[in-house]
Amino acid sequence: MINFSAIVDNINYIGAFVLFVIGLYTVLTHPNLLKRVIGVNIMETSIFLFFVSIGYVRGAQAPIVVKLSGELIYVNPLPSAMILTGIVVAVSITAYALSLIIKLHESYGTIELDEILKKEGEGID
Amino acid sequence: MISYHLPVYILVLLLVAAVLTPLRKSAYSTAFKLKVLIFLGLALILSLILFIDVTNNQSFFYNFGDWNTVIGIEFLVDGFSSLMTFVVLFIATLIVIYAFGDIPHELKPNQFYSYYALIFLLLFSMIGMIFTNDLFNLYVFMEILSLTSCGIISIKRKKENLLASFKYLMLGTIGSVSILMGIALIYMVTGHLNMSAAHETIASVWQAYPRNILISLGFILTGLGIKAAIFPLHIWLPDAHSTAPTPSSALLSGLVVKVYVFTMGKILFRVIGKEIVVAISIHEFLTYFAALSMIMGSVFAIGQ
Repeated sequence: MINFSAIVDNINYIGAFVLFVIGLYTVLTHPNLLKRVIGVNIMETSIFLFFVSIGYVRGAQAPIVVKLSGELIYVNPLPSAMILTGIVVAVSITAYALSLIIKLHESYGTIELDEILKKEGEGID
Repeated sequence: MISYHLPVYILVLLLVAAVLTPLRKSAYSTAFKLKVLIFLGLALILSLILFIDVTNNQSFFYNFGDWNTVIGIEFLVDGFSSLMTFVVLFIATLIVIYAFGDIPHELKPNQFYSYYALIFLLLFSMIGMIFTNDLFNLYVFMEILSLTSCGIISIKRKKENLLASFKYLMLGTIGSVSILMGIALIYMVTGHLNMSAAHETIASVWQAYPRNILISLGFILTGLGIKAAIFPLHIWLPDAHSTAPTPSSALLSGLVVKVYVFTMGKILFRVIGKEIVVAISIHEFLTYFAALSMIMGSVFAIGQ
Protein backbone atom coordinates (compact mmCIF):
# COMPACT_ATOMS: atom_id res chain seq x y z
CA MET A 1 0.00 0.00 0.00
CA ILE A 2 1.25 3.46 -0.85
CA ASN A 3 1.01 6.06 1.86
CA PHE A 4 -0.76 8.83 -0.06
CA SER A 5 -0.78 11.40 2.70
CA ALA A 6 3.04 11.28 2.89
CA ILE A 7 3.22 11.91 -0.87
CA VAL A 8 0.77 14.79 -0.69
CA ASP A 9 2.58 16.36 2.27
CA ASN A 10 5.96 16.24 0.55
CA ILE A 11 4.76 16.94 -2.99
CA ASN A 12 7.09 19.96 -3.43
CA TYR A 13 10.20 17.90 -2.55
CA ILE A 14 9.14 15.10 -4.89
CA GLY A 15 8.39 17.65 -7.60
CA ALA A 16 11.81 19.22 -7.14
CA PHE A 17 13.60 15.89 -7.61
CA VAL A 18 11.44 14.94 -10.63
CA LEU A 19 12.29 18.29 -12.25
CA PHE A 20 15.98 17.75 -11.40
CA VAL A 21 16.02 14.40 -13.18
CA ILE A 22 14.09 15.74 -16.20
CA GLY A 23 16.57 18.60 -16.52
CA LEU A 24 19.59 16.31 -16.13
CA TYR A 25 18.25 13.93 -18.79
CA THR A 26 17.68 16.82 -21.21
CA VAL A 27 21.16 18.29 -20.67
CA LEU A 28 22.95 15.00 -21.13
CA THR A 29 21.04 13.49 -24.05
CA HIS A 30 19.42 16.17 -26.22
CA PRO A 31 21.35 16.96 -29.41
CA ASN A 32 19.96 20.50 -29.73
CA LEU A 33 22.16 22.99 -27.88
CA LEU A 34 19.31 25.40 -27.10
CA LYS A 35 17.32 22.60 -25.50
CA ARG A 36 20.37 21.72 -23.40
CA VAL A 37 20.34 25.28 -22.05
CA ILE A 38 16.63 24.85 -21.30
CA GLY A 39 17.49 21.61 -19.45
CA VAL A 40 20.03 23.44 -17.29
CA ASN A 41 17.38 26.03 -16.48
CA ILE A 42 14.92 23.30 -15.47
CA MET A 43 17.57 21.85 -13.11
CA GLU A 44 18.21 25.24 -11.54
CA THR A 45 14.48 25.84 -11.12
CA SER A 46 14.16 22.52 -9.31
CA ILE A 47 16.82 23.63 -6.81
CA PHE A 48 15.01 26.93 -6.28
CA LEU A 49 11.78 25.05 -5.56
CA PHE A 50 13.62 22.76 -3.14
CA PHE A 51 15.33 25.63 -1.32
CA VAL A 52 12.13 27.66 -0.91
CA SER A 53 10.25 24.57 0.33
CA ILE A 54 12.82 24.14 3.12
CA GLY A 55 11.98 27.57 4.52
CA TYR A 56 8.22 27.05 4.44
CA VAL A 57 6.46 26.42 7.74
CA ARG A 58 2.87 25.19 7.58
CA GLY A 59 0.40 27.71 8.94
CA ALA A 60 3.01 30.44 9.49
CA GLN A 61 2.85 34.10 8.53
CA ALA A 62 4.96 36.04 6.06
CA PRO A 63 8.07 37.28 7.92
CA ILE A 64 6.99 40.89 8.37
CA VAL A 65 7.20 41.50 12.10
CA VAL A 66 4.47 43.81 13.41
CA LYS A 67 4.61 44.70 17.10
CA LEU A 68 1.77 43.38 19.24
CA SER A 69 0.27 41.30 16.42
CA GLY A 70 0.58 38.23 18.63
CA GLU A 71 2.03 36.15 15.78
CA LEU A 72 4.67 33.69 16.96
CA ILE A 73 5.58 31.58 13.90
CA TYR A 74 7.05 33.08 10.74
CA VAL A 75 8.22 31.53 7.48
CA ASN A 76 12.05 31.37 7.24
CA PRO A 77 12.98 34.22 4.87
CA LEU A 78 16.65 33.25 4.45
CA PRO A 79 16.22 30.58 1.69
CA SER A 80 14.13 32.98 -0.42
CA ALA A 81 16.84 35.63 -0.08
CA MET A 82 19.50 33.13 -1.15
CA ILE A 83 17.42 32.03 -4.11
CA LEU A 84 17.46 35.62 -5.40
CA THR A 85 21.24 35.24 -5.71
CA GLY A 86 20.72 31.85 -7.31
CA ILE A 87 18.38 33.33 -9.94
CA VAL A 88 20.97 35.99 -10.81
CA VAL A 89 23.61 33.29 -11.28
CA ALA A 90 21.24 31.20 -13.42
CA VAL A 91 20.47 34.17 -15.67
CA SER A 92 24.16 34.96 -16.17
CA ILE A 93 24.94 31.35 -17.06
CA THR A 94 22.03 31.30 -19.53
CA ALA A 95 23.20 34.56 -21.14
CA TYR A 96 26.76 33.25 -21.54
CA ALA A 97 25.56 29.90 -22.95
CA LEU A 98 23.26 31.65 -25.45
CA SER A 99 26.09 33.92 -26.63
CA LEU A 100 28.28 30.83 -27.13
CA ILE A 101 25.45 29.22 -29.15
CA ILE A 102 25.26 32.28 -31.41
CA LYS A 103 29.02 32.06 -32.05
CA LEU A 104 28.73 28.30 -32.69
CA HIS A 105 25.92 28.90 -35.18
CA GLU A 106 28.05 31.49 -36.98
CA SER A 107 30.96 29.08 -37.38
CA TYR A 108 29.13 25.76 -37.99
CA GLY A 109 25.77 26.86 -39.45
CA THR A 110 23.81 24.57 -37.15
CA ILE A 111 23.01 24.11 -33.46
CA GLU A 112 22.47 20.35 -33.54
CA LEU A 113 25.36 18.69 -31.69
CA ASP A 114 25.44 15.55 -33.87
CA GLU A 115 25.71 17.62 -37.08
CA ILE A 116 28.46 19.75 -35.49
CA LEU A 117 30.41 16.62 -34.56
CA LYS A 118 29.92 15.24 -38.10
CA LYS A 119 31.33 18.46 -39.62
CA GLU A 120 34.20 18.36 -37.12
CA GLY A 121 35.00 14.79 -38.28
CA GLU A 122 34.97 15.85 -41.96
CA GLY A 123 37.34 18.70 -41.17
CA ILE A 124 39.93 16.33 -39.70
CA ASP A 125 39.83 13.86 -42.61
CA MET B 1 49.12 40.19 14.60
CA ILE B 2 49.80 42.77 11.90
CA SER B 3 46.34 43.28 10.50
CA TYR B 4 43.02 41.62 11.00
CA HIS B 5 41.87 42.75 7.53
CA LEU B 6 44.66 41.28 5.38
CA PRO B 7 42.58 38.54 3.65
CA VAL B 8 39.99 41.12 2.60
CA TYR B 9 42.72 43.46 1.35
CA ILE B 10 43.97 40.69 -0.96
CA LEU B 11 40.46 40.10 -2.36
CA VAL B 12 39.72 43.81 -2.80
CA LEU B 13 43.09 44.38 -4.49
CA LEU B 14 42.37 41.63 -7.04
CA LEU B 15 38.81 42.88 -7.64
CA VAL B 16 40.01 46.47 -8.14
CA ALA B 17 42.66 45.22 -10.54
CA ALA B 18 40.01 43.27 -12.49
CA VAL B 19 37.89 46.40 -12.86
CA LEU B 20 40.75 48.80 -13.65
CA THR B 21 42.64 46.63 -16.15
CA PRO B 22 40.24 46.76 -19.12
CA LEU B 23 39.58 50.50 -18.77
CA ARG B 24 42.63 51.72 -20.65
CA LYS B 25 42.67 50.89 -24.35
CA SER B 26 46.19 52.13 -25.10
CA ALA B 27 48.95 50.06 -26.64
CA TYR B 28 50.07 46.81 -25.00
CA SER B 29 52.97 48.62 -23.38
CA THR B 30 55.58 47.94 -20.71
CA ALA B 31 53.75 50.31 -18.36
CA PHE B 32 50.64 48.13 -18.58
CA LYS B 33 52.61 44.95 -17.90
CA LEU B 34 54.27 46.68 -14.95
CA LYS B 35 50.85 47.70 -13.57
CA VAL B 36 49.54 44.13 -13.74
CA LEU B 37 52.71 42.87 -12.06
CA ILE B 38 52.47 45.50 -9.30
CA PHE B 39 48.90 44.44 -8.48
CA LEU B 40 49.83 40.75 -8.44
CA GLY B 41 53.06 41.36 -6.53
CA LEU B 42 51.26 43.39 -3.86
CA ALA B 43 48.71 40.61 -3.42
CA LEU B 44 51.55 38.07 -3.27
CA ILE B 45 53.42 40.07 -0.59
CA LEU B 46 50.23 40.51 1.44
CA SER B 47 49.52 36.78 1.27
CA LEU B 48 53.10 35.99 2.35
CA ILE B 49 52.78 38.38 5.31
CA LEU B 50 49.44 36.76 6.17
CA PHE B 51 50.94 33.26 5.99
CA ILE B 52 53.91 34.15 8.24
CA ASP B 53 51.59 35.95 10.63
CA VAL B 54 49.15 33.03 10.87
CA THR B 55 51.89 30.43 11.36
CA ASN B 56 53.55 32.51 14.10
CA ASN B 57 50.42 33.54 15.94
CA GLN B 58 47.16 31.71 15.43
CA SER B 59 44.35 31.21 12.96
CA PHE B 60 41.37 33.56 13.21
CA PHE B 61 37.84 34.14 11.95
CA TYR B 62 36.97 37.28 10.02
CA ASN B 63 33.34 38.42 10.28
CA PHE B 64 32.10 40.74 7.55
CA GLY B 65 30.40 43.85 8.90
CA ASP B 66 30.82 42.54 12.46
CA TRP B 67 27.64 40.49 12.22
CA ASN B 68 27.53 37.51 14.55
CA THR B 69 28.75 34.25 13.06
CA VAL B 70 25.35 32.61 12.61
CA ILE B 71 23.93 35.40 10.44
CA GLY B 72 26.92 36.93 8.69
CA ILE B 73 29.46 35.73 6.17
CA GLU B 74 32.68 34.53 7.75
CA PHE B 75 36.23 33.86 6.58
CA LEU B 76 38.39 31.27 8.31
CA VAL B 77 42.08 32.17 8.00
CA ASP B 78 44.22 29.27 9.18
CA GLY B 79 47.59 27.87 8.19
CA PHE B 80 46.26 25.74 5.36
CA SER B 81 44.13 28.39 3.67
CA SER B 82 46.80 31.09 3.93
CA LEU B 83 49.41 28.69 2.52
CA MET B 84 47.06 27.80 -0.37
CA THR B 85 46.51 31.51 -1.08
CA PHE B 86 50.26 32.10 -1.23
CA VAL B 87 50.79 29.11 -3.54
CA VAL B 88 47.91 30.15 -5.85
CA LEU B 89 49.18 33.72 -6.14
CA PHE B 90 52.81 32.62 -6.62
CA ILE B 91 51.98 30.21 -9.46
CA ALA B 92 49.60 32.77 -10.98
CA THR B 93 52.37 35.40 -10.97
CA LEU B 94 54.70 33.04 -12.84
CA ILE B 95 51.94 32.21 -15.36
CA VAL B 96 51.16 35.91 -15.92
CA ILE B 97 54.86 36.67 -16.55
CA TYR B 98 54.81 33.89 -19.15
CA ALA B 99 51.53 35.22 -20.59
CA PHE B 100 53.08 38.64 -21.35
CA GLY B 101 55.18 37.05 -24.07
CA ASP B 102 52.71 34.39 -25.16
CA ILE B 103 49.37 36.22 -25.39
CA PRO B 104 50.25 38.38 -28.48
CA HIS B 105 50.66 35.15 -30.47
CA GLU B 106 47.30 33.73 -29.45
CA LEU B 107 44.77 36.57 -29.17
CA LYS B 108 43.72 39.66 -31.10
CA PRO B 109 45.17 42.94 -29.69
CA ASN B 110 41.78 44.25 -28.54
CA GLN B 111 41.28 41.21 -26.30
CA PHE B 112 44.49 41.54 -24.23
CA TYR B 113 42.97 43.78 -21.58
CA SER B 114 39.83 41.70 -21.06
CA TYR B 115 42.02 38.61 -20.78
CA TYR B 116 43.89 40.05 -17.79
CA ALA B 117 40.60 41.19 -16.25
CA LEU B 118 39.36 37.60 -16.50
CA ILE B 119 42.57 36.30 -14.89
CA PHE B 120 42.17 38.72 -11.96
CA LEU B 121 38.52 37.70 -11.49
CA LEU B 122 39.59 34.03 -11.62
CA LEU B 123 42.18 34.58 -8.88
CA PHE B 124 39.67 36.61 -6.85
CA SER B 125 37.10 33.81 -6.89
CA MET B 126 39.67 31.10 -6.16
CA ILE B 127 41.00 32.92 -3.11
CA GLY B 128 37.44 33.61 -1.96
CA MET B 129 36.68 29.89 -2.21
CA ILE B 130 39.80 29.07 -0.20
CA PHE B 131 39.07 31.51 2.64
CA THR B 132 35.31 31.30 2.98
CA ASN B 133 33.63 29.57 5.90
CA ASP B 134 30.09 29.91 4.59
CA LEU B 135 28.40 27.35 2.36
CA PHE B 136 26.34 29.68 0.20
CA ASN B 137 29.24 32.11 -0.18
CA LEU B 138 31.26 29.11 -1.40
CA TYR B 139 28.61 28.45 -4.07
CA VAL B 140 28.66 32.08 -5.28
CA PHE B 141 32.48 32.13 -5.57
CA MET B 142 32.29 28.77 -7.36
CA GLU B 143 29.92 30.18 -9.97
CA ILE B 144 32.21 33.16 -10.59
CA LEU B 145 35.09 30.70 -10.98
CA SER B 146 33.23 28.45 -13.41
CA LEU B 147 32.09 31.39 -15.59
CA THR B 148 35.54 33.01 -15.73
CA SER B 149 37.31 29.73 -16.41
CA CYS B 150 34.93 29.17 -19.35
CA GLY B 151 35.70 32.74 -20.39
CA ILE B 152 39.47 32.23 -20.58
CA ILE B 153 38.89 29.19 -22.83
CA SER B 154 36.41 30.78 -25.22
CA ILE B 155 38.29 34.09 -25.51
CA LYS B 156 40.29 32.54 -28.37
CA ARG B 157 37.41 32.58 -30.84
CA LYS B 158 38.14 29.37 -32.74
CA LYS B 159 35.45 26.78 -33.46
CA GLU B 160 36.98 24.12 -31.20
CA ASN B 161 37.30 26.58 -28.31
CA LEU B 162 33.64 27.53 -28.51
CA LEU B 163 32.54 23.89 -28.56
CA ALA B 164 34.89 22.93 -25.72
CA SER B 165 33.82 25.83 -23.51
CA PHE B 166 30.14 25.10 -24.20
CA LYS B 167 30.69 21.51 -23.05
CA TYR B 168 32.61 22.75 -20.00
CA LEU B 169 29.87 25.27 -19.19
CA MET B 170 27.09 22.68 -19.36
CA LEU B 171 28.92 20.06 -17.27
CA GLY B 172 30.18 22.70 -14.85
CA THR B 173 26.63 23.95 -14.37
CA ILE B 174 25.42 20.41 -13.66
CA GLY B 175 28.23 20.19 -11.10
CA SER B 176 27.43 23.44 -9.34
CA VAL B 177 23.70 22.68 -9.36
CA SER B 178 24.38 19.35 -7.64
CA ILE B 179 26.59 21.12 -5.10
CA LEU B 180 23.78 23.59 -4.40
CA MET B 181 21.38 20.67 -3.92
CA GLY B 182 23.80 19.15 -1.40
CA ILE B 183 24.10 22.49 0.40
CA ALA B 184 20.29 22.69 0.53
CA LEU B 185 20.15 19.22 2.12
CA ILE B 186 22.76 20.19 4.72
CA TYR B 187 20.83 23.40 5.41
CA MET B 188 17.68 21.28 5.81
CA VAL B 189 19.31 19.20 8.57
CA THR B 190 21.25 21.90 10.39
CA GLY B 191 19.60 25.24 9.69
CA HIS B 192 23.06 26.79 9.39
CA LEU B 193 25.10 27.89 6.42
CA ASN B 194 28.16 28.68 8.50
CA MET B 195 30.53 25.71 8.24
CA SER B 196 31.58 25.61 11.91
CA ALA B 197 27.99 25.92 13.17
CA ALA B 198 26.81 23.28 10.68
CA HIS B 199 29.62 20.97 11.82
CA GLU B 200 28.57 21.26 15.46
CA THR B 201 24.93 20.52 14.64
CA ILE B 202 25.76 17.60 12.34
CA ALA B 203 28.06 16.03 14.94
CA SER B 204 25.21 15.92 17.43
CA VAL B 205 22.27 14.96 15.19
CA TRP B 206 23.71 12.84 12.36
CA GLN B 207 22.41 9.60 13.86
CA ALA B 208 18.88 10.94 13.45
CA TYR B 209 19.27 12.00 9.78
CA PRO B 210 21.77 9.58 8.20
CA ARG B 211 19.94 9.58 4.87
CA ASN B 212 20.03 13.35 4.43
CA ILE B 213 23.76 13.49 5.17
CA LEU B 214 24.49 10.60 2.81
CA ILE B 215 22.45 12.06 -0.08
CA SER B 216 23.89 15.53 0.38
CA LEU B 217 27.44 14.13 0.44
CA GLY B 218 26.64 12.20 -2.73
CA PHE B 219 25.46 15.36 -4.50
CA ILE B 220 28.39 17.47 -3.28
CA LEU B 221 31.06 14.89 -4.11
CA THR B 222 29.56 14.27 -7.57
CA GLY B 223 29.46 17.99 -8.29
CA LEU B 224 33.00 18.60 -7.10
CA GLY B 225 34.09 15.44 -8.94
CA ILE B 226 32.76 16.86 -12.22
CA LYS B 227 34.55 20.14 -11.58
CA ALA B 228 37.82 18.53 -10.45
CA ALA B 229 37.63 16.01 -13.37
CA ILE B 230 37.91 12.81 -11.35
CA PHE B 231 38.00 9.75 -13.63
CA PRO B 232 34.46 8.83 -14.77
CA LEU B 233 33.46 12.51 -14.85
CA HIS B 234 36.48 13.87 -16.74
CA ILE B 235 35.09 14.01 -20.30
CA TRP B 236 35.09 17.81 -20.57
CA LEU B 237 38.73 18.22 -19.55
CA PRO B 238 40.84 17.06 -22.54
CA ASP B 239 39.04 19.32 -25.07
CA ALA B 240 38.88 22.33 -22.78
CA HIS B 241 42.49 22.22 -21.63
CA SER B 242 44.08 21.42 -24.97
CA THR B 243 42.25 24.03 -27.08
CA ALA B 244 42.63 26.88 -24.59
CA PRO B 245 45.40 29.50 -24.95
CA THR B 246 48.58 28.22 -23.24
CA PRO B 247 48.46 30.47 -20.12
CA SER B 248 44.78 29.59 -19.58
CA SER B 249 45.63 25.93 -19.89
CA ALA B 250 48.32 26.33 -17.24
CA LEU B 251 45.93 28.21 -14.95
CA LEU B 252 43.15 25.65 -15.43
CA SER B 253 45.12 22.48 -14.85
CA GLY B 254 47.52 24.00 -12.34
CA LEU B 255 45.17 25.90 -10.07
CA VAL B 256 41.44 25.70 -10.82
CA VAL B 257 41.16 21.92 -10.61
CA LYS B 258 43.15 21.84 -7.35
CA VAL B 259 40.99 24.47 -5.68
CA TYR B 260 37.99 22.16 -6.14
CA VAL B 261 39.91 19.31 -4.51
CA PHE B 262 40.74 21.65 -1.61
CA THR B 263 37.04 22.52 -1.35
CA MET B 264 36.23 18.81 -1.25
CA GLY B 265 38.54 18.38 1.74
CA LYS B 266 37.05 21.44 3.37
CA ILE B 267 33.50 20.09 3.09
CA LEU B 268 34.48 16.59 4.21
CA PHE B 269 36.46 17.63 7.27
CA ARG B 270 35.10 21.04 8.30
CA VAL B 271 31.40 20.51 7.62
CA ILE B 272 30.75 16.78 7.87
CA GLY B 273 33.54 15.95 10.29
CA LYS B 274 36.18 13.26 10.39
CA GLU B 275 34.22 10.74 12.50
CA ILE B 276 31.26 10.62 10.09
CA VAL B 277 33.53 10.46 7.01
CA VAL B 278 35.34 7.47 8.52
CA ALA B 279 32.09 5.88 9.76
CA ILE B 280 30.53 5.80 6.29
CA SER B 281 33.96 5.07 4.74
CA ILE B 282 33.99 7.86 2.16
CA HIS B 283 37.78 8.06 2.34
CA GLU B 284 38.06 4.53 0.94
CA PHE B 285 35.87 5.32 -2.08
CA LEU B 286 37.81 8.53 -2.73
CA THR B 287 41.05 6.54 -2.66
CA TYR B 288 39.66 4.03 -5.18
CA PHE B 289 38.56 6.82 -7.52
CA ALA B 290 41.92 8.58 -7.20
CA ALA B 291 43.79 5.37 -8.05
CA LEU B 292 41.39 4.71 -10.94
CA SER B 293 41.95 8.26 -12.30
CA MET B 294 45.73 7.80 -12.22
CA ILE B 295 45.63 4.42 -13.95
CA MET B 296 42.98 5.31 -16.55
CA GLY B 297 44.77 8.59 -17.36
CA SER B 298 47.92 6.62 -18.26
CA VAL B 299 45.87 4.07 -20.22
CA PHE B 300 44.21 6.78 -22.34
CA ALA B 301 47.60 8.45 -22.84
CA ILE B 302 49.00 5.19 -24.25
CA GLY B 303 45.92 4.89 -26.47
CA GLN B 304 46.61 8.31 -28.01
